[in-house]
Amino acid sequence: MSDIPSSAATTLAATTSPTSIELSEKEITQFASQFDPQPYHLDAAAGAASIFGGLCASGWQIAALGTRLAGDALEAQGMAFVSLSSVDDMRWRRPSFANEALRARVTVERVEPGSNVPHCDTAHLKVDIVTEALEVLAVMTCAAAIDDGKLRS
Amino acid sequence: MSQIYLRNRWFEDIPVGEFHVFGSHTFSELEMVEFATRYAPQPEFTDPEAARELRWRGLVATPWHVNAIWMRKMVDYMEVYAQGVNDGRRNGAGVSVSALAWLEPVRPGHTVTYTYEIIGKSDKVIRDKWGIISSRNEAFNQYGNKVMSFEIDILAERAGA
Repeated sequence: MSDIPSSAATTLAATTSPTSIELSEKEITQFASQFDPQPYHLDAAAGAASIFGGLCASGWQIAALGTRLAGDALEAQGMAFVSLSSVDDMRWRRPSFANEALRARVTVERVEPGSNVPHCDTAHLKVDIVTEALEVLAVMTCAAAIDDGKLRS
Repeated sequence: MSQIYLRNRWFEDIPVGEFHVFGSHTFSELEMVEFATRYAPQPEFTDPEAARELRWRGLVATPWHVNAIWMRKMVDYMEVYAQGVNDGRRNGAGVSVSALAWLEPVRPGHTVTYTYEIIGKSDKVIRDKWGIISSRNEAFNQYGNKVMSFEIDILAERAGA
């Protein structure tokens, strides 16, 4: 098992990613044209007329970005984040619009030895993807693969 | 006999048990690196040379890339069947995902095939007009091994709403 800092292993306090990321309208529409070409992710007028009330990012773009930010938060705790291995539950709470500064708020619930990702342990996490005003855009209960420090080529 | 378009259906018309093989995609090294550079900048996903010495002994697709392609294949499939239908019956806005697992790595040149099965419908009515459809989604590589699976709840418009 990796050397998890005792602060991470013993506290359930949430850590927020040290950096934030904003999605521009261009980045939202580029992702959507490649992966999720539905009108409310591509066009402002279509977004305004939709259930979302405006042009908004694909939920998958938010999931991917939130995971990157969650990795940053774990790195800030000294945990060598590699990847997600599973997601028990993920909910999109509200649409994500352009130019909102996003961060991940991560709580490490427990760490177990082993993972289906080679040379990794498993950290069970709760992740909130939040705006600067701490509005919650999405929440995830998930398992992350953390390098166990034993990989040698 | 008139064709029934998938997207030209109300919530009430979508049967539990319906199963579709809806798309395949061959992952290229370039697109894997491009996706990961923005969303998962670990060398396992972004650096083909370095990845050879790392945990998967070669570059692999970052997990959310496999799901982003799922979304693209689903949209394409629905559009083909909708044939330009645009009367407001827009199935698709996602509510939540559960039991998502990435089971095997996807490597450059691997072809992933996506399936879904309708597994449930909720009687709950959202904002006076939407019902919730649950589906189980799976992705298989060219060897027939399951590489990813999850369940998702999406909104579907109810008839006469």
